[in-house]
Amino acid sequence: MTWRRRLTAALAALVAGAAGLSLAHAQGDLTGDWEIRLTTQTGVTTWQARFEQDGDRLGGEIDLGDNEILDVNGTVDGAKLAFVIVVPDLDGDQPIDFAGEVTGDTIQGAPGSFSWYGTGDWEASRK
Amino acid sequence: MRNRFAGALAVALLVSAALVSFASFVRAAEDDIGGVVTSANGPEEGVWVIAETTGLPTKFVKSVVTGDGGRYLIPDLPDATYDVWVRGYGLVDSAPVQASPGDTVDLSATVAATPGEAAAVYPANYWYSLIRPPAQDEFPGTGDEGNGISANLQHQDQWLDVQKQGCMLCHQLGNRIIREIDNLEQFDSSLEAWNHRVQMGQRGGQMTNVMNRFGRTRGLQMFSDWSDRIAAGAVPEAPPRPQGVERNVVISMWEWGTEIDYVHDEIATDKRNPEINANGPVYGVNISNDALTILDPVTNVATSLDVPLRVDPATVPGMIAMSMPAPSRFFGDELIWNDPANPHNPMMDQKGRVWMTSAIRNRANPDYCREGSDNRFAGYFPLDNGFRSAVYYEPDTGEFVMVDTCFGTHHLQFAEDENDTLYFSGGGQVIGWIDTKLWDETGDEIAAQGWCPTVLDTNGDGVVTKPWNEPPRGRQAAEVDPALDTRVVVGSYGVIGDPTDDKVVWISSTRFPGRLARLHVGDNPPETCVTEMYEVPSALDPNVPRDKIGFGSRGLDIDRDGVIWTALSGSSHLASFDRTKCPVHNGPETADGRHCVDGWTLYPTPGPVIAGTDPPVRSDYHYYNWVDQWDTLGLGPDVPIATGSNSDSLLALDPESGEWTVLRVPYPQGFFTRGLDGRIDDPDAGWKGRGVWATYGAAATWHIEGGRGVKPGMLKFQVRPDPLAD
Repeated sequence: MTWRRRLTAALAALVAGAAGLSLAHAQGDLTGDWEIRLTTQTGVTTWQARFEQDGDRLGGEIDLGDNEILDVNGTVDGAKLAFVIVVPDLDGDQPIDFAGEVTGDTIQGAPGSFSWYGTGDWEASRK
Repeated sequence: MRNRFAGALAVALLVSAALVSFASFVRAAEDDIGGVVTSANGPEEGVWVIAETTGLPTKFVKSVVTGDGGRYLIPDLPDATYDVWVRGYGLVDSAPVQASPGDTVDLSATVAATPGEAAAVYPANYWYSLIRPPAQDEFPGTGDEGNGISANLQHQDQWLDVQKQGCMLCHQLGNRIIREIDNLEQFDSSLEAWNHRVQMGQRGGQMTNVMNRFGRTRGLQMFSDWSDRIAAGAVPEAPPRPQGVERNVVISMWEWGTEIDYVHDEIATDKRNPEINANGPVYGVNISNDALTILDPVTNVATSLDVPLRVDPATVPGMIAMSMPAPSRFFGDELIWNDPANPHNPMMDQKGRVWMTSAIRNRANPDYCREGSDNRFAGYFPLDNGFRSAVYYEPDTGEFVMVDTCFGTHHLQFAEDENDTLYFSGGGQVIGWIDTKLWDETGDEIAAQGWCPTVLDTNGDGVVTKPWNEPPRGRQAAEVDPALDTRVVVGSYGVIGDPTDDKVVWISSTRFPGRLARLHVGDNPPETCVTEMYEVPSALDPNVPRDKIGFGSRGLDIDRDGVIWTALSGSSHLASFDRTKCPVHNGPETADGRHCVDGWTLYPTPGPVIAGTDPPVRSDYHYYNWVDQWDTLGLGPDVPIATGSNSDSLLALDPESGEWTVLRVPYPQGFFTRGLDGRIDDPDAGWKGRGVWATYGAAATWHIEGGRGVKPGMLKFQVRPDPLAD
């Protein structure tokens, strides 16, 4: 094996190792406390969340303030996650859907329409 | 003697012939249309004769019921050319005949050839009664990996409540567009069709969430089984034809708004004085596109005005989603609704001003509502967010005036007090109010408003004091100290002041099985506010006798004696609650609200029973209810009336006999109303000087008979002394 081949193999191993680490991190347990920041036409709204991951199931609670604490129901697929919270309302409960991708201790949310909270983007970071 | 007998016989025959002739003859006055309806079965009694015209500024329809001998008289028609036709149970719709006021028109009805042909015009609730929910012994649900029923549903009544307060919250179940699947060929199965149809349009997210609440597949199976059986020929029992006083009902309808307008509620007068705004315009709130819809019933002109916000509407998200899981069948991916103001419920004051609950800004409250404010209400119970405030329209100036409130608003009612206090539901954790006298004097919206949290006097010392037990937070169980009072989050929906005590306001909650709360504000709110809570007796309480099991309180009103009336939308009852029958009003045994079952009386509404329910649950749905305190309808004072939102009707109860008067709207079908009120235009004009008003209020106007293009209707109900009175 030439030095060039050895270097290539070593670099490949490093890249593979890094990718594996990244994947392992992305697929790591989301269980824990998170802060969600929603940016819409109304400004920035911050919610505190507790995620509980069980396999590909995502549960937990999000505190919307004013004693409104809502269940999280969702799924995790590799680095991707999706969940819904249902805001109780007198004119019919309002489901709000979230989708995003995990990178380490942050979640980059997909743009969406978030009922009364507006249309825009969201992100989350582990506390 | 023989001659005398022959003479007597001849006279008798002549009299008899005259009577027969009279029975089949109706003379219409110059503004009436009258005649006789007959079919192959002879005179048709208890069927509707409908006159409709597009010859006025807005489409107009007037309906009456035939009386003895099939005779009818449609009174007081505006000058126009009308299509006049017959609809009735056991018949097929007759071909229209053109007529004008002053004409006498005898009409031929055709008897339906089959039960299915007759059933085409049965109200939605009759069709809905064919649905088969999971049997009682399948509960509690064990989830997707068990019996498919959501594990959140412990009892069949909770499943039924999802059907009622999930689906029927917005539209009828059982009307043609729902019970039949017009585009079934686009899907592999009816279950797939249902799975798709509950995702369509801007309310698709809400609908699909309701299906998830059943346990999605079990819910879809129930609905697809129902529509499959109907497609295969299943037909419900026949409704009774109108009887007795039901034949004296005259219904006038004017179209208002547009084909996409969701007119949530209407108002014609001041509930406390129904002679306010006599002969004036009636008003509706278009919740889906932020408009005040107006009808002048004298000139037959319908108009609308945009409801403003204090900030740029583009910065305020509305209630209705601006996205959809699947395109609408009728509007594709077009966003037809945009509702940052989201005006919900109107109420008229003593000056004829139209107050409404409407958003004027985003949810985050100004600092004076929050902790740290020197506002005494915020100091007592700060509020970070509020959804909707108060807006009123002044007909004299044509202006809208906005009043910012810290608390959210939903319904509103004026108290009978010297300050004309306007109370609001929808405050989330509080009940709020505006002192409108102070507001008119000062224009100070901060000083004029107040609110109280709902705190029970569970330690029984007669007052509410801090600290109190807090309600549970999320999944955390509440810590209860018996020495303290207890704050509850009732979830206020309906609201009404108490005419027997001007410091008392009642609210209702829609959360299963339903609750009432009574707030006494005392002399120095918020410190003097004390709340009592009364749960609707239900299957969740093992001490409730079978004949008192109900669920699903929504609407709320009160009679002049202070007896509360609430329509149980889930179990299909109109229920009264008499607080004077309660042995206790405070103390530790009142914490769960189950301490006064004796105060409740339940009256089952008249629709058919859903099979497999016991105690029987009916297929009726009652979005709201109202008490005709001032006899504006003509059935007497203090008559409680439930909206027959799934049965094209208003349902008036005689509490003494438990009997119902069904005021059915025969045409167009799809009369799903969310409220009503009554006005006296002329107290000396008998039945012609009074009437009850209600609007078509389904979330999807195209569910109304006629489909896309039909506009909501505004209705006036009147009860005359007999079917031929003019």
